[in-house]
Amino acid sequence: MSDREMALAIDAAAAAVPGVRRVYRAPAGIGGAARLLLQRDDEPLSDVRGSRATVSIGVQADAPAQATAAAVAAAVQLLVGPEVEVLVRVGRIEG
Amino acid sequence: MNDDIGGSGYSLDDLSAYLDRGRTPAIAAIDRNPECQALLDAMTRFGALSHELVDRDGAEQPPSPGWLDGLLDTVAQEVRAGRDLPYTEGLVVTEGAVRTLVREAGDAVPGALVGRTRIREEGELTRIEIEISVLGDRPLVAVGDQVREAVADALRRHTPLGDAAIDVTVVDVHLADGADG
Repeated sequence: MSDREMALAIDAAAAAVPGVRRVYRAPAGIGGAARLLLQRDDEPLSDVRGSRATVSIGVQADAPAQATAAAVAAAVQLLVGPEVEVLVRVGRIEG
Repeated sequence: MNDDIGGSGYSLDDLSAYLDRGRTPAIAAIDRNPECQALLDAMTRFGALSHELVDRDGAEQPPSPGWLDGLLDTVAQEVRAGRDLPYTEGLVVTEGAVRTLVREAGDAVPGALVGRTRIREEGELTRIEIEISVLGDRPLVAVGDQVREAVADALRRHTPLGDAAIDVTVVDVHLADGADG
């Protein structure tokens, strides 16, 4: 599976976790803003590079944010396997 | 201020125009950006607030545009993602998300509108400083207490800052335009 396919699968897995309002575009590090501007609408939101996967989520205000993020991390870790480090970033808590 | 919001490539003015158009046609770079979404929600709240003030006070003019514009600039600065605050290893919440949570909890208190917020570290202690405006003829201390309780509840429920000290300062009282105190 390519990094792009993996990132798309992560988007879907994260969005399916109860309490996740939406998946946001993960920050892309140095030069990220320029890269974001060039991304197409059908490109993945999560970021997978080799041994690191990052997913950014918005959590519903009626769901506890940390527990929701932990559930996302567990779902993503299952998907990517133990050798990939997973970072879940809560970018918004939204009512 | 007209900076690029959250690396989206869109400015505050662009977001305002997008909101005016009913967020159509959809722009993915805005809809998939948490900082843009936080700012759009703040703009929506401010619009509703402006109408509420006019309705309640019976004034013909909305609140001073300069006041709301200044507040919007503050919000635009504070929605930036900023630092990652760790829950545990591999799980973080952004400082921007916490600031937005604080703002939305405070704004939900009737008669309160959150201005500037600060998250400061004092050794082991985290201190949240919140400036609010009180709208209309409401008791200042009671509104301030309600804001502190609402913010404390939200922080405990959603962030690693449940033990933070919270200072609320009333910096302004606002009536509809021409009647500010």
